[in-house]
Amino acid sequence: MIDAKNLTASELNTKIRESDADVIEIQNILGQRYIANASNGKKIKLFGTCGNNLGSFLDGSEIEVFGNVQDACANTMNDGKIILHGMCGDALGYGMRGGKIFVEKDCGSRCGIHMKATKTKQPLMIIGGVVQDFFGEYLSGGTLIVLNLQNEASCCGRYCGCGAHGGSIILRLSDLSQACHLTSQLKKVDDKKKAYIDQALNEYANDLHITLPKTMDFYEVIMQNKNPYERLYVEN
Amino acid sequence: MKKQPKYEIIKDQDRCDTCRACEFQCANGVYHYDAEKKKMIIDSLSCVNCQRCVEYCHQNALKIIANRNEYHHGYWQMEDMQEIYQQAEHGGMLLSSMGNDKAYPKYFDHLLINASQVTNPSIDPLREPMEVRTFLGKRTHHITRDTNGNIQIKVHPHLHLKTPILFAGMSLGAISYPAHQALLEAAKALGTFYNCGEGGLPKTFYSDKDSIIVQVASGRFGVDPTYLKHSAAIEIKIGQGAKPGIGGHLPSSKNSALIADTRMIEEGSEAISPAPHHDIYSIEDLRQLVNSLKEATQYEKPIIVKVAAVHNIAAICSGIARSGADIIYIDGMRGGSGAVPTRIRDHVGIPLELALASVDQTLREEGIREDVSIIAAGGIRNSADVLKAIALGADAVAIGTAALIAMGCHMCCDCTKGNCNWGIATQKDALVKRLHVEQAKRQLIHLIQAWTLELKEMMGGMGICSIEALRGNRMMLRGIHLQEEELRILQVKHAGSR
Repeated sequence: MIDAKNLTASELNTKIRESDADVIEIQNILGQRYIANASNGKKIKLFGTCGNNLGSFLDGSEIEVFGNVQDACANTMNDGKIILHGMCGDALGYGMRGGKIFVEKDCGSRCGIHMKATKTKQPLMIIGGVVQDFFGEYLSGGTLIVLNLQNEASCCGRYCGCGAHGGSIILRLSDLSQACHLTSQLKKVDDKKKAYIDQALNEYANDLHITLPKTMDFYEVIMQNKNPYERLYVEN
Repeated sequence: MKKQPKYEIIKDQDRCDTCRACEFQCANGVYHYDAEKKKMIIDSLSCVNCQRCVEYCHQNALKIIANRNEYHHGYWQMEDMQEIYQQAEHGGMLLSSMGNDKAYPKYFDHLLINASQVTNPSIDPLREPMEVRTFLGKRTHHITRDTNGNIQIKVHPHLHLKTPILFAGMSLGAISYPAHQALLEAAKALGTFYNCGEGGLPKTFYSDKDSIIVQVASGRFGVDPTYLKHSAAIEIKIGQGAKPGIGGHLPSSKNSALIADTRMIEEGSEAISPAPHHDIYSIEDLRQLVNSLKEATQYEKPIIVKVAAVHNIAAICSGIARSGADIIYIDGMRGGSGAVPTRIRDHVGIPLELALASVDQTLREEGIREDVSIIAAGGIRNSADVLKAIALGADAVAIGTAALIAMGCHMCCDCTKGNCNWGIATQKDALVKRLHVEQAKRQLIHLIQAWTLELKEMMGGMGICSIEALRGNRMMLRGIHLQEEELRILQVKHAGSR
């Protein structure tokens, strides 16, 4: 067990790198930034409030946070898993291309921006609560799911999926009015997608130790264009 | 509205032996052979003036000239009208390539270099050592000692260049794989640095990490811990001189298997770089990414922040210097691009010379100049520009367009179509093969060697034997044909001043 009290981010990261414990438990985290940056092969449990850029460039480690997390968590995440038993600030998973992020409660603005997939990686982000503006902007691959388990009046803010040109944004809606800020069209998910969602939610519920409603209606945001710039330019 | 050809191809029928070399060399479909008439048919409308056919015509039968319409108007130029026709027909933003070609002042051409006479004698660089080695990064401010009085040396991570010239970042996608190979090989041989641009780093380059600068741009293409580790420095690209304030877009048609693998995206998908980094909305946020990258690489690599030269560049760079970055890269408005909206290219940003002088002066006044090095780029055409940029405050310069020209680019400025007949700005297999890596590498090495010799010659003439003594040394420059305000910003006296 590592006591983070009075440790700087660098000192904390050095301890994480040097630790050979099967599970690295860190207590008393109070806003330290950059925790477990570029980390791989570790299993880390964090207790307290993590500062900005938790797990940036994460490369395979599994991080579980018992508390809230501030902004830019999982920035440019390449692989691994982040499980948050709490809320998360803005810009979660910016430029993420691999791994999984499971958040129990709400997230701020600009989450899942520019998430992308590769030939071998399909990233996944599931938010148990609601998200604010610009969710999934420029999305080009992977899957974003918002559950709105508290049945808030709106599941996502404005400009959801703006400029998105790949991947999928899935919204769980108990009432279609919960998509009131969404300007894109919606469609009910097909059976293939539903099977994928069920499998993903099973893992989500297990990791967060929560029970999900037995029946949930899922809708997929219809991407406006595979190429948002298609008609924007003309050769000079 | 009928489109008018920009260029006219003039063929000397008496010389043409219909060998069809022009047809085979042109990827734009300008030429085809009419077997019935036994002659070459020319479609000038498709010609981009890349000069490939001219160079490969063994009979010297071809000449390309600008198609100057006889239309004259004191205000409306033919180019203005052609652009309106184009937009009236298609309704899109005009797209161009390379850098700003408008007739704004070229301040480098209004600066004259000093030479020693009688006092402070000039130095013959062929006979005496001239130091052009350059170190880029933070400088150590204070000397600290341990309890025994021994000096504790804390050197910040830095780049060591044998000559103050680097290659600018150009992505795989904008230019071809052989072009990247040539740039990297040349950088290794010259003791300088290749910059992979924002399109990721080919894995085949990993073994040469000591000569590589990797870029982290808003699209985060190809960025993972392995990528960051295989570099000598990391460059956060905020802006680009050719297109300040906007992002980039590699169309799906250019996203081949190699590019997808290198960028770590799906093959055939659109590769869009948003205009901003969505995790950077302030200098504090920039500091966070700088520190995040340092933490991810255990503080072993200098961090460069690249910005376009814009109106309030001095204040911006003051903020960057305080963000913890080690090097600021200023890209002037003449900087190139594979694809850029024409209006942005031609009307946004400011000249490098003014931006550079202003930034250097501001950082000195604020006492933070030694916290960062400055790389100047965007329109460096020759060794005199290099010298003048350094005298205006740069620690080193980066060249992109000049490097492409050294490899064989003929500045047809038609990179957007991906039909580069010289194998540079293309991803088409048949065209890519035309660029010979060894030859391109040799030409790049020759260029930088030549510029370095010229630099030493000019420095020797000034009586300066170390590039350090030239850095920010405005006394070595005099302005000509410049207004008082321009001289004030450049911090340069007018020619003839005492």
